[in-house]
Amino acid sequence: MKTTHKLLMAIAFLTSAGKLIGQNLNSAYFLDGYTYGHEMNPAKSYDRKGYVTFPALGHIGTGLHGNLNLKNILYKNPNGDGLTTFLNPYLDTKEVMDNFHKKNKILTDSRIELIGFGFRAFKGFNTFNIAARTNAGINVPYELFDVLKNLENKDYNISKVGATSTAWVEIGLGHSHQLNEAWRFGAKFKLLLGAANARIKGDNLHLDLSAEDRWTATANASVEASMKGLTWGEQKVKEHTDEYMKQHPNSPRTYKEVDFEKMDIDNPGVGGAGMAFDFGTEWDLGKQGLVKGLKLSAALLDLGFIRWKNTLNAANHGETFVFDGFHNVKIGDGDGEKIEDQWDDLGDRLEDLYQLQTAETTKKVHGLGATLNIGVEYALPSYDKLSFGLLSTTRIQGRYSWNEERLSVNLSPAKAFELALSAAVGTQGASVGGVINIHPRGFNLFVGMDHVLGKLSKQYVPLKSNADFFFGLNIPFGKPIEN
Amino acid sequence: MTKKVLHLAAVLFGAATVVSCFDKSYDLDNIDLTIGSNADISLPLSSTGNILLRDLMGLEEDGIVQFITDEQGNEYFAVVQDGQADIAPIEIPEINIDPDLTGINTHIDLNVIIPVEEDVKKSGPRRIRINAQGITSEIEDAIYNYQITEEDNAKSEFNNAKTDVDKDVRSLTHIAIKENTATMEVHVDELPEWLEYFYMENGQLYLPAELEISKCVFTCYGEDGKTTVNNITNYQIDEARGYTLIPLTETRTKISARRGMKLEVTFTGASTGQHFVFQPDNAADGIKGTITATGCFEVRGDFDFNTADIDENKFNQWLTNNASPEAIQKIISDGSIQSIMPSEIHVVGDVSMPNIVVEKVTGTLQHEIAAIAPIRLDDMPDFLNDEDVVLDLDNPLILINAKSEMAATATTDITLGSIVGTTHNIVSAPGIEIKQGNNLYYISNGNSKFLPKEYQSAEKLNVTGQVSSLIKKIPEEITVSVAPVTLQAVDFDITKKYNLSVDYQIYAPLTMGEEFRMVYRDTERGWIDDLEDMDKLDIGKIEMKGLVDSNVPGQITLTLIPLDEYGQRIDALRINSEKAPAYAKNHEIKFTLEPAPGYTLNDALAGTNGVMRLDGMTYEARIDQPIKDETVQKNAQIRIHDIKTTLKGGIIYDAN
Repeated sequence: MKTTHKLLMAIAFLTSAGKLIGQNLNSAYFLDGYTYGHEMNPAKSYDRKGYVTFPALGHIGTGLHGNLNLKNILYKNPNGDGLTTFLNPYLDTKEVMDNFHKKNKILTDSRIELIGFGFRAFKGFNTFNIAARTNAGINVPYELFDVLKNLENKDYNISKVGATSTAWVEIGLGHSHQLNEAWRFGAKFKLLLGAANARIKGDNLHLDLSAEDRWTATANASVEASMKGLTWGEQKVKEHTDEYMKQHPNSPRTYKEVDFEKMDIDNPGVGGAGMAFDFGTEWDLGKQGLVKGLKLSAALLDLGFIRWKNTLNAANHGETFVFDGFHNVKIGDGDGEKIEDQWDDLGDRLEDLYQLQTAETTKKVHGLGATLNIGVEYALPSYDKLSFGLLSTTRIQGRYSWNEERLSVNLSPAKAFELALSAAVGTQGASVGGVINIHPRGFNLFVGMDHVLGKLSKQYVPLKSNADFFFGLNIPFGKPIEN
Repeated sequence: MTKKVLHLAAVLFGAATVVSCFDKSYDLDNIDLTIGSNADISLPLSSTGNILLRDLMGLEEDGIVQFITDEQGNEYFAVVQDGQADIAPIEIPEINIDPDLTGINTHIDLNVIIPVEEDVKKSGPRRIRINAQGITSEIEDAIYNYQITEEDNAKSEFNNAKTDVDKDVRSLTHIAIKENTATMEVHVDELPEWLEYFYMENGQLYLPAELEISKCVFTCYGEDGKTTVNNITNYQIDEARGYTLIPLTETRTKISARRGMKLEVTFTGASTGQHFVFQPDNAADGIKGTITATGCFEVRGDFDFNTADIDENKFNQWLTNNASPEAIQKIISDGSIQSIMPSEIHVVGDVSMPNIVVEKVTGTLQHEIAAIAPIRLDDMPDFLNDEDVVLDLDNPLILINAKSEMAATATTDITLGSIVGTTHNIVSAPGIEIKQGNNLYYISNGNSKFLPKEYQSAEKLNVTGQVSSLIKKIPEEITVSVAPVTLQAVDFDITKKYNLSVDYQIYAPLTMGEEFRMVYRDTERGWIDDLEDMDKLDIGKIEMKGLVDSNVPGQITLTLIPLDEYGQRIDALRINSEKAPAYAKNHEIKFTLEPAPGYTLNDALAGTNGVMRLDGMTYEARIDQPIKDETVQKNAQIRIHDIKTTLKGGIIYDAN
C-alpha cells in the first residue's frame, strides 16, 4: 500500500484514537454568547446579528472521553523503577481489577469547522457550516482485563468488545425560530459525505477454562471497512483444517484470509453519503410567567445515517475452539500422536478462531449515533448575569453510549465576556471544566474544556481518559442582542 | 457582589486549569513489561499414548530378545538364541577287501589201487585188452585212488587281505557285503591221453566259517560233455577249524579230467572272528581301523581212476608209442597197469573272487563332534547394556532338537557352560538318546509352562547343574559341547550318508526374578534452541498429577532429571520420583518441579544466580520388584492418563 494511502487510513482511524476533541463544549451550553450553541441545541440563538468563522479555525475541538484511563493500565512499578503494566504480577490483583469498570470505554470526537456563518433572517437565526467530523471509540469489557490479569480456571464471558471510527464531512443548514415569548424551536439539516468508516466487533467471546477436561473458546469477530477505493489487496488463500471440513462438508476447501498488510486504497474520495437532523427547543419559564430566570431546553442531535457504498466485510468462522488437552501423546515409538503435531494442530485450530475470512463487498448503512441534551438553567433573579445550569447529555451509540450530568456556573459580567465553570459526573467519571468566551464586536475567541486534562505523563499523555480542548476564532456581527 | 463573583469565577477557572500538570515520574519511555498472573492454572487433562515397553527398550525381532506367541495367543518377551552343532554327516567310506586269492596247484599221490571187483557198485569187472607192439593180453580192471587230504594243501589262500575302515567304526561284529560269488574251477592236469575221466567221492570244500554263503552251485563236466549242476545247501560247520564245509559230492561222480569241475559260492555277509579280524583305530589322531581276511578255500576228497573207463584204442596206441615191449610185458606180468599209471596227479584249480564290498556293518559307531562355537548372547538390545539393567530370569529353558537320519539310536552328552561374574556354571545332560527322525528335548530347572508349542511333547532331560544359574544373568556366551555320538549299529548301511544335527535354543521368557531390574532412559536436549524466550519465563512450580495404568508385572519408578546445557543435572531444580506398582490401574502419581531454596525456576531458565540453563530432561523408567514368574508381555505398556498439569505460584513473563 502506498504510504499516502496508509496515511489516509491512519488519519481515518487514529484521529479519533488520539488527542481529539469532544464534539461540543458542554460547559458553554448555557452561554448566550457562545457562537456554537446551535451545535448543541439547534433552537439556540446567538446574541449577535451573525458571525462568520475564520476558515478552519472557527471551532476546533479535540477530546477523549471514557472510563479507561491510562493510569488504569500503567502503574508505578512496585520495584520503584518507572512504570509497569497492570499485568505485572507484583501488583495487587484486586486493587488493579477494582480500577476497571464493567464496560471500559475510550471515546473520541473531533470537529473542525471549515466554513461557517450565521445570520438572522426568516424570524430566526440561520446557520450554515461545513465541518469535518470524526468519532471513534473502543469498548473493552471487564472480563477481558480479568482474563489478562487474573487468568485462572474460570469461565470468562467477554461480550461486546469493539472499536469503531467514522470520519465524515458535514454540510449543515440550521434555523432557530422564536415561536413566542417562551418557546423557541430549532432544526438543522445536515448533508453528510462519508470519508471512512471502520467497525471491529467481537461478540460472544467466551473463554471457559473452568472445566477440568477441556478449555473452550468461542468468538464472533467481524470487521467492516468502508472507504472509496479501499480494497483488501492481494489476499492469502488458505485451506480449512480437516476438522473444519468435517463439520462443514459443503464448504469450499480454501478461503481468503484478510491480510491487513495488503490493504490498498485506489483513488480515494467520498465513500458514502447520508443525512442527519438536529432538533431542539427552549422553553423560557420566566417569560412564560412561571418561574423567573428558569429555562428548560432539549435537543436531539445527529439523528441520521450514512450509506457507505464500498464496505469490505470480513468475519471469523465463529466456531468453538476446544482444547481438551494433549491426548495419546506418543512416547518413543509407541502409540499416539507426537506432541509437536498436536501442538501444531492446536495452533492451527486456534488460528481458525480469530482468522478473518473475507466476504463480499457490500453497501452498508450506519447511524451516526445520536446525542440527547436536556438542559435546565436558572439565572439568579437578583443577579441575572449569573446562572446555574444542569445539562444532561446522553450519547446513544450502542456499545459506545455514554451519559453525563454537568452542572455549570455561568457568568456573563459583560457583553463581550463570558465564562463558565462546570463539574460533571457520568459513565466516564467525574470531571470539571470551564470556558472563557471573549466576543467583543467583530471578534470572538473562546477557549474551553469540559474535562480539564488533569495530570499528564512526561510525554503529555493524559493520565485520565477524559480530556478535551476547544478553541475557536470567529467574527461576530453587530451589537449584542438580548434574546 | 459582582466583583466577588467575578473573583470567585476567575479563581475557580484558574484552579481547574492549573490541575493540568505533568507527572514526570509517569514516563512512558520507561515501562516495565513484566507480565504474569498470581493465580494457579491447570491445563486440561491430558494423556499419553500407550508407552510400549518394547519400544522403550528398543527390542527388535532379530535381536536375542524376541516376541513369542503361546497357544493362548499371549505374546511375551523371551531371550531366544539359537545354535547348531556343526556335525559332519556320518559317512563310512567304502570298505573294499581285495581277497587276493591264490590258485590251487597241487600234486596228489596215488593212494591206493582198488580192484574193480571190490567196487560192487560198478558196472562189473572187465578187462583191458592190450594190443601193442605185437603183444596182446588182458589186464583186469582196477581203480586207482588218489586221496586229497589236508596235507595236500589243495587250497587258495586269502593271504591276509587287508583294508582300511573309517575311524568312526569302533567295533564290528558283522558286515553285509555286496553279493559276491567266488568261482573255483578244478581239473586234473598232465594225465596220459587215455585217462579221460576220474571219479570224485566225498568231495568237500572248506572255506572260512565267517563267510555267509547264500548260494553254492557245483558243476561237474562228465562223460560225453554231460554237465551236472547241483545246488548245495547242506553246509556244515567245522567248528574246530572254524571253517564251513561244503559237501560237493557224496557219491562217486564221474568227471572229465580235463574239464574238471566248477564251484560257485555266493556270499552276502561275513562275521568278524578268526578269519575276519577287525582292528579299530586306537590312535588319538584318527588313524583308520582295519579288517584283515585270512583263511582259504580248500578242496578235499577222493579222486580215482577206473581202468574200465580207458579207451583201449587210445591206450594201445599210447603203449605202442610210449611203452617198450618190456614195459608192456611188465604190465602183463603185473596184471596191472600200475606201472604206467601216474604216481601222482596234478590237480590244478583257478580260484577267482571279486573284491568284497561291504554294504552294511553291525557294530559300534562313534562319531566325533567338532568343537561347537559358543552361543553368543551379545546381540542384546542396547538397554541391556546399561549397568542398571539386571535381567534376572527365573525360568530359562534350553531346547534341543536332534535330528538323525540313522535307523538306529545314537547317544550323546550335551554340556553347556557360562560364566556369570566369577561363577562358572555347568549344566550337563548325559545319555541323550537320539532316534531316527526328530528328537525334541528340553532342559529346565523351573517352570516348564513356557514351553513353546512345538516342544510340548519334548522329553525333559535329566541334568546336573542349575539351568537357571546358567542364564539367570545373561552371560556373554554359553559354551556348548556335544560328546561323540555313539551308535550301536545293526546292519548299518554304509553306502549312504547320514545327516545328524543337533539344534539348540536358549529360550528364556522374561520372567522376572527377584533381582530383575530394567531401566529405560531417554534424554531430550536442545530446549534452549527450541524454546525461544524461555529465559523470560518464571513459574512458581509445576505440578503434574496423573493416573497410571500398567500391565507391566513390576514396579515402575518414574524419574525426571532436569539437565543443563552441558547435560549435567541441575541441582537448583527439584523434581520427585514416583512409583507405580505392578499391574497398576488408575494409580495416582504426582510430580512437582520446583526450585530449590534460594533459587527460582527462572534461574534455571535464564541461567542466573549461578545456575546453568535448563536445556533438557532425562526421563527414566525403572522396573523392579517384579511379581515372580510373571512374564513381560509383548503388549506390556504403561499409560498415564488424566494428567493434570498445574502451574502454581504464579506465572511471570518478562516481555521487555
